[in-house]
Amino acid sequence: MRVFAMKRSAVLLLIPGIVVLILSIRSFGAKNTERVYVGEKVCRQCHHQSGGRNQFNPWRLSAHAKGWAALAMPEAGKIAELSGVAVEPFKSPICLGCHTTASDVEDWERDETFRLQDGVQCELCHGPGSEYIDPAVMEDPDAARAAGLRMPDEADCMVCHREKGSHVAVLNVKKFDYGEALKEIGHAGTGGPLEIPETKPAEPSEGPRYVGPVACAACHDQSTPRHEYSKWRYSKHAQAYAILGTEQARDIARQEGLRSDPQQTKQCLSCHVTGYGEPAGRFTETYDMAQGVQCESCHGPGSEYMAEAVMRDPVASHQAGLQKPDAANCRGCHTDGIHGHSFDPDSMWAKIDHSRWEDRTYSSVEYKTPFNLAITSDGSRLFAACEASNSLMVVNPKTRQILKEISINDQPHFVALSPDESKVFVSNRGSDNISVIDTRTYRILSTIQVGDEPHEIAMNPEGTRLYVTNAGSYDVSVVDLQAGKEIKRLAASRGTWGVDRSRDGTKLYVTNNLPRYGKFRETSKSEVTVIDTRTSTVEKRYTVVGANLLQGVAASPSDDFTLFTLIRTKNLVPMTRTIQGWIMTNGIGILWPDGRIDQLLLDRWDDYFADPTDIVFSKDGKYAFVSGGGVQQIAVVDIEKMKALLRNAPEKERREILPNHLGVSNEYVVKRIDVGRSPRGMVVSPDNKYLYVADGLDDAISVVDLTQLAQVAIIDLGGPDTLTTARYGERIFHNAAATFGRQFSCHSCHPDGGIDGITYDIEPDGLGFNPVDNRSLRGINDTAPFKWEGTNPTLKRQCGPRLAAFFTRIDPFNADQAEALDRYIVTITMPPNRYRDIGEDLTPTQRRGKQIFERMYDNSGNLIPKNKRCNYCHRPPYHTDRKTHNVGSASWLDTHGTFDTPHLTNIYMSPPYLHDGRASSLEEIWTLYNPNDTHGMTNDLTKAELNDLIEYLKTL
Amino acid sequence: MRPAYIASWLVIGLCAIVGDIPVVAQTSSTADTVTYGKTPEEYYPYSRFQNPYNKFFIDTLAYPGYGRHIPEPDHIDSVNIGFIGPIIRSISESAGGPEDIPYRVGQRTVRWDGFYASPLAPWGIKMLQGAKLAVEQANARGGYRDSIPYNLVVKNDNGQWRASGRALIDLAYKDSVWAVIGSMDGANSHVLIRVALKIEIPVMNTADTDPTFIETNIPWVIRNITDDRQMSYLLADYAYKKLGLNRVAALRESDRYGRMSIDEFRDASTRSGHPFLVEMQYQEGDTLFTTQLQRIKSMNAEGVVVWGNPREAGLIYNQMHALGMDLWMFCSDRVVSGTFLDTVGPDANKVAAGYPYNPTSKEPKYQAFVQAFQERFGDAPETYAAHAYDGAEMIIEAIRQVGLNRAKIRDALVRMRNYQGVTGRKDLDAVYSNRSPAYLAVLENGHWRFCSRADLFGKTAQADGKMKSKE
Amino acid sequence: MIRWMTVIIALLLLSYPAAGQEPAAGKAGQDGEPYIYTDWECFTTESTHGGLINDHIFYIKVDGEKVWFATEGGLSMYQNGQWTSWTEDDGLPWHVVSSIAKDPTTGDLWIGLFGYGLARFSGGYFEHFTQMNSGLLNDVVYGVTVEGDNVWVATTAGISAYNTVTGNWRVYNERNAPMEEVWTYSAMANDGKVYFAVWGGGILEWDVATQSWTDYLDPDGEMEIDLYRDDGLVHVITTSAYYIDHTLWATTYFGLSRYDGRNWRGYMDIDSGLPSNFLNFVVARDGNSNVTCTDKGVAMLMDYASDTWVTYARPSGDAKTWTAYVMAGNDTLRTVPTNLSLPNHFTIATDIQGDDVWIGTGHGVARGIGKEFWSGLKPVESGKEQRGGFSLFNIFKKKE
Repeated sequence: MRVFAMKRSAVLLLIPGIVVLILSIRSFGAKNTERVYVGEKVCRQCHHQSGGRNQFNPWRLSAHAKGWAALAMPEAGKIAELSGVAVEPFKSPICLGCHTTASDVEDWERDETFRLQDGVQCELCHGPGSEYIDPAVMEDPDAARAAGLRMPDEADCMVCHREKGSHVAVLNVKKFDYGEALKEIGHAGTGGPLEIPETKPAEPSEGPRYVGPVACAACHDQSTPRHEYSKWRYSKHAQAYAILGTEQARDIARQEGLRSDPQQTKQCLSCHVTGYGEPAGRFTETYDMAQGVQCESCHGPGSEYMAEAVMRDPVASHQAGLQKPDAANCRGCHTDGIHGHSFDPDSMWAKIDHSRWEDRTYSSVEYKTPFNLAITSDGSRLFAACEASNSLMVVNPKTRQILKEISINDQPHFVALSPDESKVFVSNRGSDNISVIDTRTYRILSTIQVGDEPHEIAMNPEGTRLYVTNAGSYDVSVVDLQAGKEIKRLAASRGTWGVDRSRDGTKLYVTNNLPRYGKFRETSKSEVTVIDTRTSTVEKRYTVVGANLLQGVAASPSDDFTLFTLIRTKNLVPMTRTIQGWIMTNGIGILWPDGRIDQLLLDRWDDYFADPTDIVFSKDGKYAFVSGGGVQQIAVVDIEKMKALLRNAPEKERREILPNHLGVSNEYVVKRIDVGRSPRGMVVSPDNKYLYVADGLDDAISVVDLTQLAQVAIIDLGGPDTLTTARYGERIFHNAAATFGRQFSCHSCHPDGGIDGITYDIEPDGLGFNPVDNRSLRGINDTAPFKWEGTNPTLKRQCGPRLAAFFTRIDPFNADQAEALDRYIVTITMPPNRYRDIGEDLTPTQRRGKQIFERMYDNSGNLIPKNKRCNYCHRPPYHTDRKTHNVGSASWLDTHGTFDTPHLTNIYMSPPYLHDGRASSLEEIWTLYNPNDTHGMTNDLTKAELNDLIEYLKTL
Repeated sequence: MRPAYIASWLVIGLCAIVGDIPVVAQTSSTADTVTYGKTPEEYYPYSRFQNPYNKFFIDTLAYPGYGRHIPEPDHIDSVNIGFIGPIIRSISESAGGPEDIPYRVGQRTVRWDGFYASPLAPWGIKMLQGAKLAVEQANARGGYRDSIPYNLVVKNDNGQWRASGRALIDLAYKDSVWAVIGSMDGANSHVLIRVALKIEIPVMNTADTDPTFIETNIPWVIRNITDDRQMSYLLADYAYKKLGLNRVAALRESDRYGRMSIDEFRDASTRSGHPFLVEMQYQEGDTLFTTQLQRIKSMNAEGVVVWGNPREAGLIYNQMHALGMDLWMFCSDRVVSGTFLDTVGPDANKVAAGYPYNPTSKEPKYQAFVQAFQERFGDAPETYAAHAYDGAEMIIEAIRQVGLNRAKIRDALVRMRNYQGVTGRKDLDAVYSNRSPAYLAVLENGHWRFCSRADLFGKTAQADGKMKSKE
Repeated sequence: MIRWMTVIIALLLLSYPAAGQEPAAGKAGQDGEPYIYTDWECFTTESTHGGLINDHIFYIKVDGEKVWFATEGGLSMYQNGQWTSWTEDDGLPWHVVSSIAKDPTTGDLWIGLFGYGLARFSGGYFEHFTQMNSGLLNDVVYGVTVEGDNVWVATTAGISAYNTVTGNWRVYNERNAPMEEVWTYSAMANDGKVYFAVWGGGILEWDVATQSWTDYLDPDGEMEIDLYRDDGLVHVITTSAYYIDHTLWATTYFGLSRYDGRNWRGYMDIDSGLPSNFLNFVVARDGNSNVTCTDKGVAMLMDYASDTWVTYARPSGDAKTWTAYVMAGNDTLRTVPTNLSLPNHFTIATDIQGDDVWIGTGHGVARGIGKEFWSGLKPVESGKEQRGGFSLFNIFKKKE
């Protein structure tokens, strides 16, 4: 198909005699055709002619034509940052989706005549042209439509032009007015006779030839630091030819006594088009006069110096004809007084200067954000994995001096020492790997790929195997350190998070942050997975009922039980209900050797203990310390008292009362120690004198004296002094002070900016109606409106008074706080898609899936109504039209049926699905909950075809 | 099911053209004279040059398993009989029966808009109505042992999702049915019977004419409808011997129905020296066939075999005539339907289709059935209704004879070697497939005329058709 | 015309078995004697007081000291004389279990559920995969096997492969594999290959190294006949495949096939120790011997070269115990009584545990105790030789 398409439109550029060929293909019927983007240059063959056929000019002069070039502007980088886009704008499918055409298709779907650099061109609005470019087809509106010609409406434009928070913040753009915009870019044609002159390729003449800017762009594009092509494309020079098609140009021509069309007048063209008047043999076929005043006007014809080897050699390139322009060049056209302008070389030069580009580093302030700690057996070195600074910091806990900071990628999360302490291992949540670092030289020895979003690390006693919990892929990687690679993947539950080894070394206890997939409106069931280190196999998978967000885990030194942190979320009852601790209660689980699991709360009825994050034992096993991420405290649990309470409690009370009892924590929580902001990982010094706590949002480590049970010092990790708005927001996000009784923080429901995997009843009715599934905060800035009902136009509104009314039950955030929270949330990045690298071709399965996503006909050949096609509501680049629709997904608990169209970026990351989380997998959306094709036409699909569709959805 | 074995066709086809060629004679190790499927010698595979090492489907299929020892349950409220047929097309229902089946059964037809209903649904509903009528009549007679009612448990067969397997598993393990009627589509019927073999439960097929359906040696399967093998032989004889055509092309649906069911016609044509000029395909749901028809026209074909559903067959007929091709069209029994007639109009001629029984029979038993069906459903029965009725009657009779034990019900069913149903006499062969003679439906001015082999070839039809029945 | 004739003759020669492919003529009873399982342990639900959860056995999987049983009523495990079982009450998603595979790397058990998908049995917890919530092509699962990180599932609508590391599902059916039909009934991975018995589609081979498919079909392409004995796969209605020693064994409802990568060998009731052509399952010790489950007993090919078989069956419907028939080809040399007392010889499943062999029937399982087991033929002690000379095949034919 690709070869065929290329041949087709390439030939069309020369002669129109291709008609028959195209017709023969169309006779197979629209159902079977594959459409290819041909590019504006092909459209121009008919749409850049005198009479009512000059649609080319207005487009070329419009901002659309500069869409791609705009992504090189410094502002673009800032906008990307605010949109949670982790890559450079001109690489981001999201940015490219609106700034150019056919960015999300595969190579074969772009004809050789198509150029991404032409930005938003004809086919973004009118559809890929290969099947309708034939004049015979275009003359027949029905045939053209059948062949894929689209006439865009407001909805099409709004896919990109709907207000985006990031763009408003940076560019301060005014609200998009469809009517006005239409006037601006309107290019209605009146038709008229069509002439396609026969052109014969000319014999090349002697000397260097003009190659055109597209050839230059092969090297001088976005990938070069200076983006020369984009800079030029943004300048008036690039419009010099098109401008001749304007009324203003005709006026000027008339004033100068010229009667003919300026675009066909020698006097105009000689300055408005590069190389005009040269013999035909002086131009290669890549040259295009419509590009106006091009690189070669100043630098000379490029055919001889364009080769990279020549360009890299100043002498050779000069000899090959590369000219260094000066004001004299410019004066050739910019003569004083021309068209009433005077020529000021310096100011003009500044305008088009592309020898350098503005500073493109956006946020200069870089925080540390230590997450987890490890300490050497002699207590001389403390290692801290710092997520924000992408580094591992080494400090001397005694002198509190920073010994070293080692840069690693990406989002370092956990740190662990090898038994002989010769190596330290760091899990990198962002790049899905483990950095192996020499503890003497601090050199990175190797990087080992593991599962998605690796969190914690444990080792077998011999130190030959590494066990890594993968929160993203819901499993445990087993790494053979001799082989230096992952050798197997062990099953776990969901959001696999923490791990600790039993003191006898035979068992690993693994926590899972998210509850298992369960039935709709069923109590959460979470899991503690036990792994046998002798066989590296899963030994047991224990169920923890009524709890979720199992994170920290620690096996007692005496090996007679294991503790883990948990939250008991009351998500099945309306938030108006306050029995048993209202929305969330925070506590610990105790796993006994016989498999029994007890649950106890760390909360007090008047002061909760939000976000229990990590848990460690004192060396003597007397105490367990739990870091309360949301309350900036460490809870000290007296183990003997805890055991006594459980021992003395009647069975029924132990099973049914204690897990929810808010009045007993003072019996075993002997102290709450104040530490810094967002305390996370902890370690106890080998001499059992100190507890070190990573104060994530203070860029510091608290030193807690275990005899006084009090913070006695702070180790500063050297973060910046300035507090950015985003950082301020991050602190609010992680602080439970914003909720009644310090029950929970924003982070409680959005760990790692993602989801807690459960459905809530947060509506005001208080009757249990309208349950809604939690949605991820990753990369959501430009996907407004928010809420499943789609009633919040901005994040500020989402986090505003309504939040106080239904969630926090406390004074709403003030304007500054809301602003800061908003700024932080939009910087929560969306990780790169794990099913398809940027620019990577689709697999055959994904390709078949894409055809289903975009199909117009069902398996029986019936035309599918627009609103039953996937890409009607889920429009690229975010794959949402940002509107609400009724897709028949309402349950008996819903008072209405219309819901926000969710974006599909990395959709695989956030099960369950549908507004109320009924579908535990993407499959279930259609296998169970779309019986009447109300959520897209899918019932005609075979199971294999549905699989294709889902494999494609995972790549979005 | 068998591979499209070009090599062997080529050999046989060429044999036919160049006449007999000397080959090493080898006697069959099972020297018997019985021919499976009443296959005329001239249509028998490799018959021109090689006796096979072994022949199958000759010996009566046995079930030597354990099931007969399982005792009858002490107490049941109803005697459940399963039904699996194409009613609607919906993924959500692929794992079980749709709640609205009773409603749909009440309605006369299901409009096929390609969205919700399977293209087979109109027939599936007829099939269901036929089975329901038999069950209702049995209950009116007092039910099982004059006290326990029979109950038809209905499951939808969503062909898209090969749902018949799961449907049968639910029927067997959750609804505890004793035997099952189903299904229609060849691919899904195969799925169904392989599941039945593992569960060990009898399956009565009343609607799948795929010849290979029964060629699987599953001792739990009985088919009471005449298959495409018999219909193809009659069609081939009609085309080549009666009409004397020589140049026949084929245009079939690309799915399994088109692929498998045309097989016997293709082999018969090749082996009788009239290999298809060309065999082209179309997809279910296609509406434009001119590309294929122009090719056929260019080959000066005298007839075209069209194997598929009536909607497409009707369009092909019309487009063929629009191209000035006044050819004979040979089709499967599926085109003998209102959809086809509505499409081609009242003046249509020169279409012949196989048909599994004589719907114009004046037999009192058949007439009584037609009347009862009319009264119950307000609509005339057709082949799917009539055969499902016979199938349900056979199951009920088997249960009456031996009680509630799946293996014994199976034994009783396979003993009914010459069952006399409303669709006529059922002659079950060694693998329990009905081999009673097929009928030919010939379209004359928009009306079907049904002819037996005798009507076409005279009383000496057997000799005329070179038939060598060994049953 | 000459060209046609050449083509025809070429094709005929291609499809005609070359001389020399036949194994050496059978000399069983003269060159030596095969091992005979005379001592059997029988287990039924009744005899194990419910230890064996159900008598209708669908699959047997030997796992070191453990033996797993897929039954119509749940999952059972036998170890050191003890039985353990799992049903819906213990978290098993569905009680009709069709197949079992062990992942040697993770230790997880993969369980095919008849009509209800697939389950991963890990750490005592069952994780459920269905056509509704995963990439599994169909809930009717007949076979499952593990190859590397991939769990291959034979379903009635094609083949699904689940990668336990990436979590990706791949599906294979007529669109992307050489599948004449999609109804897949057994999966078996060994030695860099994965074999599938595709019912109506012959045998499908997946080569792990090249990630490509090869299909093996019946060369005569006809359902109702087998044109030549050794021209290829006996029939396309296959039920199981077993690959060992670079030798493929395949059962069909029309006989048994053996393929050593170069030559095919066909076995039917008329020419071998098979008591029937209706074959449910085959497991092989090596390229020379196998255990084949039929609807009329168990046939064990003990020595390929001499075509020596020992077939175990009930001589009559009312016999208390099964008899062992020592056979050369289709000739019975002698019969030996055994203590195998299962009430019916419709055998469905088998597996080999060291020298022992397990068989599963429609009513109970039995273990043949291979005390002093020897493979191949053992030289005959003088005077011990007995000859029968009647055809077992004929006996069973008469019985029907």
